[in-house]
Amino acid sequence: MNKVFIAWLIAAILMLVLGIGMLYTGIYFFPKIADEYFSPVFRKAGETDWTFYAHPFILAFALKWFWERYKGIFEGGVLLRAIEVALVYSIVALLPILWLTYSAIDVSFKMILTWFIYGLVQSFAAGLIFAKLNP
Amino acid sequence: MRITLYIIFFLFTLNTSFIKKAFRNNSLARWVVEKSSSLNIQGETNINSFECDVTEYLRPDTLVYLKNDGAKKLCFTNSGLTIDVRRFDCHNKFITEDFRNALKADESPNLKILFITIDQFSNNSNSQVVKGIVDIELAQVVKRSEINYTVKTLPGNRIQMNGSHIFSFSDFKLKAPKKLAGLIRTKDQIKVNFQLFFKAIQ
Repeated sequence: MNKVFIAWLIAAILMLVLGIGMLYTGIYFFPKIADEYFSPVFRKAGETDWTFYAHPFILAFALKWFWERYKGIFEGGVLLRAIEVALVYSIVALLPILWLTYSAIDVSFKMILTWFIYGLVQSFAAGLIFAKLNP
Repeated sequence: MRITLYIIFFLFTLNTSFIKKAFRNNSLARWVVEKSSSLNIQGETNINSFECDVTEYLRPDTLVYLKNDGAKKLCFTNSGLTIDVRRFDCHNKFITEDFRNALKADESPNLKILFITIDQFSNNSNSQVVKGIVDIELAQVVKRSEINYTVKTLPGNRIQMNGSHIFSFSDFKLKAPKKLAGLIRTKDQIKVNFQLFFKAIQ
């Protein structure tokens, strides 16, 4: 149990750091896409800020549950298992929800694409931690 | 008692003569704000820098002032410019909308610049720098500021006044736009540049 908790916590913190790092990398390399964050569809910073910082902890919790339930079907080395987790999460969860987001909210396709990449990288990092700590 | 009365009378006479002299040196005049006047705001976010412009002044405002020829000082009488904040164009639809929201354009759409005084003003100046005091009203908050203008007299009784000043959103109790839990943010300071054209009317 303790091992599971530690793996969840490490994965969550790593995903938070990666999320912020990728956001700033995106700002640096693609400032025109990042300008879109000033669109009124995005909330102003304020009372709900904590929900943004909490998202990796929720994602790590969901991925951890998924890992514990289905880790038996992922075979191979740490890297391969992490890639599989990232692909399953991205195709099963991320792609449909981002599709729905694009259809309902006024955000550009490029912005949606950055979120897909962020999610893919975050879930890969979580997969690496889980495969290493709770094989 | 009599001496006191003489002193009061003397002081009164002296005072009225000063007032008369002051009025003799003062002249009332008007400037009509020309349509070509413009206002530009430069700001920065942690992504990019941005510029917002109002390139056309559509209100027929007139500035009335009392000029003290001796002191070369212009004292304005309730004279100002009114700019519709909703006309700011930041050349980027997201920033334009966000900037207007940050300035509370829906609640108080007018940016008012009330001229108070201008010192060392000359009718024949070629890029002379003069000091002026203005009251700026934005989002129902008034801030008094000292501004340096570069004044240029143009043919046809026209005057060009350029100036700039650095303000903060917080000066007007406004919040600089922030998104994504503050990871995307606009810097608090903005530089306001203006280019005003007036037509002098006697």
